[in-house]
Amino acid sequence: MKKVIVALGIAICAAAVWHFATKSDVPLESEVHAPPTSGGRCQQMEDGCAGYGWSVHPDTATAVEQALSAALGSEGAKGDVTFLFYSHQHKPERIVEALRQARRSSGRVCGWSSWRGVITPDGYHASPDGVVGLMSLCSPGVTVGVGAAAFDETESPESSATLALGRAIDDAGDPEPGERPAMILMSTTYDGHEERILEALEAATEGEVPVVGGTATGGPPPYGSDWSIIAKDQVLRKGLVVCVFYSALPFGWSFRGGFDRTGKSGVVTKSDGRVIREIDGKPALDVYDKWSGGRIAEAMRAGKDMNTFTGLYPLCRTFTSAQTTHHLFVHAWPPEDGAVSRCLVTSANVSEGDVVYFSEGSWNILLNRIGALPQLAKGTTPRMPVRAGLFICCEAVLTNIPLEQRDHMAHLMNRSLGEVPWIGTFTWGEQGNFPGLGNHHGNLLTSVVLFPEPTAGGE
Amino acid sequence: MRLFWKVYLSSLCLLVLSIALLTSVISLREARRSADLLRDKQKLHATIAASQVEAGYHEQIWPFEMLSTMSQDENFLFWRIVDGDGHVVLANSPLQDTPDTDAILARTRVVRSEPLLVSDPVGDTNVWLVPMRMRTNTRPWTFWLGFHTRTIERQIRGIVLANVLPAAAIAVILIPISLLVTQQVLRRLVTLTAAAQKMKHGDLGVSLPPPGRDEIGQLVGAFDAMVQGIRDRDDQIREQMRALVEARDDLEMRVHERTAELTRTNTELKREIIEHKRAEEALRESEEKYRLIVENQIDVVVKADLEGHVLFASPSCCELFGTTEEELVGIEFIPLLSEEDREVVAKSMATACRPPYTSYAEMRTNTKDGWRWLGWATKGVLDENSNMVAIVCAGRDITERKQAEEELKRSLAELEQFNRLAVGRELRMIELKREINEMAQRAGLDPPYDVSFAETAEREHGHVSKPG
Repeated sequence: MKKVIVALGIAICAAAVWHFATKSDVPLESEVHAPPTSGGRCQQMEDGCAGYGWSVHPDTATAVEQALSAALGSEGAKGDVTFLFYSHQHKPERIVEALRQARRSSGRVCGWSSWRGVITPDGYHASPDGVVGLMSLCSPGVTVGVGAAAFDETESPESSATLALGRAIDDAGDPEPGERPAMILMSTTYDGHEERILEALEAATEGEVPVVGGTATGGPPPYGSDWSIIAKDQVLRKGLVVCVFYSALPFGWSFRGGFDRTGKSGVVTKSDGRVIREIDGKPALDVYDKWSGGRIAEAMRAGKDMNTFTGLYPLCRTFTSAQTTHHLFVHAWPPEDGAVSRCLVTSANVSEGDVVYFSEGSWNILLNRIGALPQLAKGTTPRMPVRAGLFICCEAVLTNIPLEQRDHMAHLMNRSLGEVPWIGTFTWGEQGNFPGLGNHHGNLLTSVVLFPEPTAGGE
Repeated sequence: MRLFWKVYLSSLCLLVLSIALLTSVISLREARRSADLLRDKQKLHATIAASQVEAGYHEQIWPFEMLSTMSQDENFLFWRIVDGDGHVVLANSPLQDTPDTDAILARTRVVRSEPLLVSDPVGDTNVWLVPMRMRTNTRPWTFWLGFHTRTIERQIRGIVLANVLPAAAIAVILIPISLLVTQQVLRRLVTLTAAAQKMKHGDLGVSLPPPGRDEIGQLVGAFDAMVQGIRDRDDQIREQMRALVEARDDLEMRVHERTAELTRTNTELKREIIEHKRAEEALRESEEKYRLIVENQIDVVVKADLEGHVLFASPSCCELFGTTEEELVGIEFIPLLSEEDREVVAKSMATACRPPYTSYAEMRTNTKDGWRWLGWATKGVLDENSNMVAIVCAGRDITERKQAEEELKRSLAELEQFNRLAVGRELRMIELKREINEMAQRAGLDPPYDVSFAETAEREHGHVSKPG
C-alpha cells in the first residue's frame, strides 16, 4: 500500500513537473519559425528580370543552386550578369563549378569574397557554414561586360586594371566608338592596390565614369588572406575584376561614410604607404589616442579587437567640390607592435601632407545613414525607376552594428527601394565616386548603386 | 520506526506544506506586484522611445541604439513605429510578418495623447501604444512596445515548481504515509482504548494487538503485562475477597455477638444506672429523710469515735445539753453520763463492738435540765474492711417511761398479786371443764364447754402454767 501511494505521488509530481517544464519552454509563435536557410526573390519583367537569392547551405553546390534558383525564379530566366558574393567558407572554385553546372547563370559573373555574410531585402544572412548570395540582372537598357586580370599578368596593378577593364569592355560587346561605360563596378583582392587600380581606371575612362567597388575580404580574425574574386568562370586570389555597364539610362549611386568629423585634425608628417607614422610630427598612435580621449590606449590595454574598435573612430580626409564637401574616411588602427612603433596602419593610402581629422560614429548613426544611402542614390537620378541595387559596405561598419540590428539595414534599404531587388556585400575597402571629385578609395564607407529600370518608351 | 520519528515526520510534512504554501502566496503576490512594475517600466520605455523617435524623425535618424537597448529587456517582444494609416514604418524585426496580435492592435485607435495599454485577452502579450507628434491623414503615428508576461508567469511557474509542487509532492507522499503511520498508531491505540474501556467495565478478557518495538508496541506490551498483572491481581483479590467475605461473616457474627453482649451490658448498665439513680434518689431521699429525721429528731444522736470523742451531735442533742454542736464536737462523751452507769456504758460499748454491733442501754445523762434517763441505742460504724471506726448513739429521753415503768412495776407487782389469784381460779375452772368434757365424752355426750382457747394458748405460749 505504501509503495503504491509513494509511486502514485512520484508519478503525479513527475507529470506536474513535466507539464510545467514543457509549458515553460513553449515559444511564442514568432519563435516557432526556424530561420530559413535560403531565400530570394525574382522579379520578372517583360524585358528582363532582376532577382536575388542566397543560401547558407554548407554544401557549396547546393548553396549556389538554391541561391540561383531563387534569383532566377522557375520560369527559366537568365540574367545578363550575376553579382556573386560569398563568405570565406566556400571555395570560389567550387562556386564557379556549381555555376557552370547550373547552366542557368549567365557567363558574366562578377563576384568576390564577402565578410561573413551578405545582405538582401529579406535581411542579413550569415552562417558558420558560410553563405552564398547572388543577384541576377537582365535589363535591356543596360549592357554589361565583365573582365578580370591577375596582378601577375602584368607588370603593375595599374596595367592589370587596364587589362581587366579592357576585357570587360570587350565582354560587353561592341559599344559605340568612344562610348564610355555609365558605371564601373570593380573589386580587387586585398593587396593594397586600390588607389592604383582606380587611378588606372580613371585614366582609361578619363575620369568620367563613376567607379564603385569593394575590396574582397579574407577570413575572420586573425584575418586570413583567403580572399578571392570571381570573374566569369575565373577565380583570382591576386587580381581584380571589373564590370562595366553601358546604358543611356542614368545610374544612381551614393558613396559616403556615416561618421561625424570632429575638429581634431593634424597633418600627416610621416607615412609609408598604408602606415601613418607621424601626425604633426608626433607618433601617429599617440595623436590618434589623444584625439580619442584615451579610448584607444584603453581598448589596447583591454585587449579588444582594435580593428573593430577603431572602426568607429576613422580618420577623415576632406574633398571639397563646388557643391559640397565629401569625407573620405580611412580606417586606422594600431598594429600588433603599436605599443612600440606608435604608428597606425590603414586600409587606404595616406600621404604625407594629408590633413586628417579624427572622426567618431556609433552604430546607430551608421545604421541610419546606411538606410539613407539609397535615398541619396535615388536623388542623383530623380524620378528614374530602379531595376536593381547593389550595396557595398565596409566590414568594420558591419561588425560594429549589432547582429540583431543588421536586418534594419535591409529594412531601411527596402523603405527607400521598395520592391527593387538588391544585394549587399561587405568589404575591406570601398571605392566610390564623389561627383565632381572623382573616384576614391577609402574605408568604413558604404555605397549603393542603383541600376536603372528601362522605361516603357524605350530609353 | 519510533513514534518520535513518526510524529516528527507528520509535523515536518505539515510544516513544510504550510511554509511552502505561505511562501507561494507571498511569492505570488510579489509576482503580481512585479507584473505591475513591469507594465510601468515598459510604459516608461515606450514613452522614452517614442520621444526619441520624434526627436530623430526629421533627420531620419531612428534611435536604433536606444531601441536595441530597450529590446534587451527579458520581457521585450517587439517595438514598432506605425504611421497614421497603420503601416509599419519601422520595427525591431522589420522583415518578419507581424504577429497575430496586430489584428487586435489594428482595431485599437489611440484617441488620447496618453499611452494606452492593450492586452491580449488570450495570450500573454501586452502592448503599450504611445502616440507621437507625427501624423498621417490627421492620425498620429504611434510607437508600439510589446512585452510579454512570460517572465512573471515563469516566476509563478517557478514558484509553483519550487514551492507548491514540492509541497504537493510532500503532501502526496508524506501525508498518506503519515496517515498510514497515524492509522497504524491509532489502530493500536483504539484497540488499547477499547481494551481499556472493557477493562473499565471489568472485562479482563481483552484481545490486544501484538506488541512491537516502538513506543506504542512497548505500550501494548506494557498494557498486556498490566492486563495480565491485573488478571493475577484479580485472582488474588478474588481469593482475598473470598477470605474477606469469610472474615467479614465471622466478624459480623462476632460483632453480632459482641453487640448482643454490649446490648446486654448496656441494658445492664442502664439498669444499673437506673438503679444507681434510684439509689441516688433513695440516698437523696434517705439523706433528706435523715436530715429531716436528724433535724426534727426529738431523739438525740451522737456519733463518736472509739475513744469516745464526739464527732457529731444532732440539734436535739445540742438542745438536750444546752450547747452547740461546735462545743460538743471533740469532747469526751462518757463524762456526760452518770458514773453509776459506767459499767452499763462499758458493757454497751463492748456489745456494740461485736456483731451485730448494736447495743442498747439506759443510763442517766447530765443534761441542761439535770439528770435524765436516756435510752441509748448504740450502733457500730464499720469501714469497708468491716472494722469498726465509730459508733452512733441514739438517745431518747425515757425519764417519763422510766418513771412510768417504776409506776408500772409497782402496778405489776400489785397486778401479779391479783393475777395469781385470778389465774388459779381460771385454771381450776378450765380443769374442771375439761373433766366435765371428758366425763361428757365418756358419757357419750358432746363436751359442753369450749376450752380450745386454752389449747391455743398452750400451743402459742407453751404450757399454761398453772397458777401457783
